[in-house]
Amino acid sequence: MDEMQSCLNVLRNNDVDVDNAVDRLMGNDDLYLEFIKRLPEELHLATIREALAQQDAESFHFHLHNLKGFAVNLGITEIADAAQAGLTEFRASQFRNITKLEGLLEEIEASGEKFASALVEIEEIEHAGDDVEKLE
Amino acid sequence: MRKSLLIIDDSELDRAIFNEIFKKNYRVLRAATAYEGLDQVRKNVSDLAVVVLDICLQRGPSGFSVLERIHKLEGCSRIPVILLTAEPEPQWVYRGVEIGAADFLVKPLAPIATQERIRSIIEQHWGTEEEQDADAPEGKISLAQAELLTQRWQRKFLSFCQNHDITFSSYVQRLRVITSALANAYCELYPESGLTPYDAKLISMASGFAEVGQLALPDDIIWGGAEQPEPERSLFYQHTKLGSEFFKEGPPEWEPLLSYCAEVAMFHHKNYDGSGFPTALSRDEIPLSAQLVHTAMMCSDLADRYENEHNISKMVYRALSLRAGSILSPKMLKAVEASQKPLENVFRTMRHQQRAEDVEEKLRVKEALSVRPTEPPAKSGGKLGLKNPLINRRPK
Repeated sequence: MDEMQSCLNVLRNNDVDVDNAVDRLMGNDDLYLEFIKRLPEELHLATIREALAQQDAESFHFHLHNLKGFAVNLGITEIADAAQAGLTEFRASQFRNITKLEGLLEEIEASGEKFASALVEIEEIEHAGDDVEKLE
Repeated sequence: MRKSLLIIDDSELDRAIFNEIFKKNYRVLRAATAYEGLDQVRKNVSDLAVVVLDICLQRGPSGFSVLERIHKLEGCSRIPVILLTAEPEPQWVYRGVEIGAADFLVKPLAPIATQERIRSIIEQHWGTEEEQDADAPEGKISLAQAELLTQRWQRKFLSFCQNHDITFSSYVQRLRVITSALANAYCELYPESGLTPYDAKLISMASGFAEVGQLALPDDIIWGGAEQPEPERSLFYQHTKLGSEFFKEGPPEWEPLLSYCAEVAMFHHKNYDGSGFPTALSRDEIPLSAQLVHTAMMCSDLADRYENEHNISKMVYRALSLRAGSILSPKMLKAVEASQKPLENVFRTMRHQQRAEDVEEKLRVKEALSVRPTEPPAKSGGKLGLKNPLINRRPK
């Protein structure tokens, strides 16, 4: 199994819908990996939490909406679903149900942590590949 | 042939996905902001086939104002703009259609369906690859120059019309798309007619000036239309002659665009059997350009009449088939039949526009009631209340 497939399998094992997402990029799995590695910086959890605390509707919606788009496109279903639930709740009742919104942000954070571990695993696979290349 | 697509979207990932979907067949331009997008449009006016525009740029639905600004740029009013959204809210869809969006795409993009939709819109607006590459015969106006001239005149024409009704702009656009579909079908069905893809393009451009002569008439004559008594009725029909005069004695290098404009202005009320106006000519003596535009106008009118029917194109075809041999030629009816797909697209857009108008009308009434609860809402004379006199009174 080649290095790319090993990396993609790590994601598949973490409930990422890799195949549909790579199809969306017309099979360009290098580009897919390039983007998926950016998830930690795209989460903006601190900013979203700050917006929630300040009840800054514009910022809250903007960052959550972007996160949902990013996660949907890359097949990170757990985060996409939680972000969508947050947007639906926000549209229905703005900040009236803060506990629910906070709960959804916690879900996103937990998924993000699980995902960060997967990314570490992917980096290790890539480094191992680099080492083999150097030896050759 | 137009080879560039532009995506304006503040998400780098969405821009990348779009690029992957289209990079094999098009030059994909990418812009992250409205400013960059407008700059790219200006730099690529003659090569842009489609602009795909995210409704939510930065932090709000500013895509709408970008769409309007694109269509106001020199030479850009016909560039189809497709709106992109992750949340297809009905009021956004209606607003988009009302201000001239060609279509909507919903994120996440499905590659094959997106390729198909965009290809179909490009063909609808610019023709197939072969049609786009249709060269001008030597000594005749190039399609690019004709397009530029048409847009310039159109802008002036619409600026004269703007005090009448805002819907005229969308009517002209609709007429052009229908004429283009019919003319392309006619070329293919009847090559012996001598109509080429080049002529088909020019005739579709000319269709927008069919009613230009009405600008020379007093408003009450325009409003009276073809059904008013004499002598006003004859005066109304003078617009065909006045419109035709408008395009005579222009520079020869603008031919045959000017001739088509003159023919269309003169004979767009002329029925195939010789009835209608003006009295001269019948059957195949009537210029083909005018027959095409006359049929396109009927398609448009009938589609308005059947707007609440489930299958508008079927109803339109059925109604036209009853008029074959009298109002339109049997050949023209075949062209309508062969244009079913593009016509369905146009009628679908019309339906969206109608819904947008209905929503706005309800909002307007609601607003009027809430401002002055003791008075009934004023009779419509504003944005949506009046149908355009220029398009509303043509004889059937």
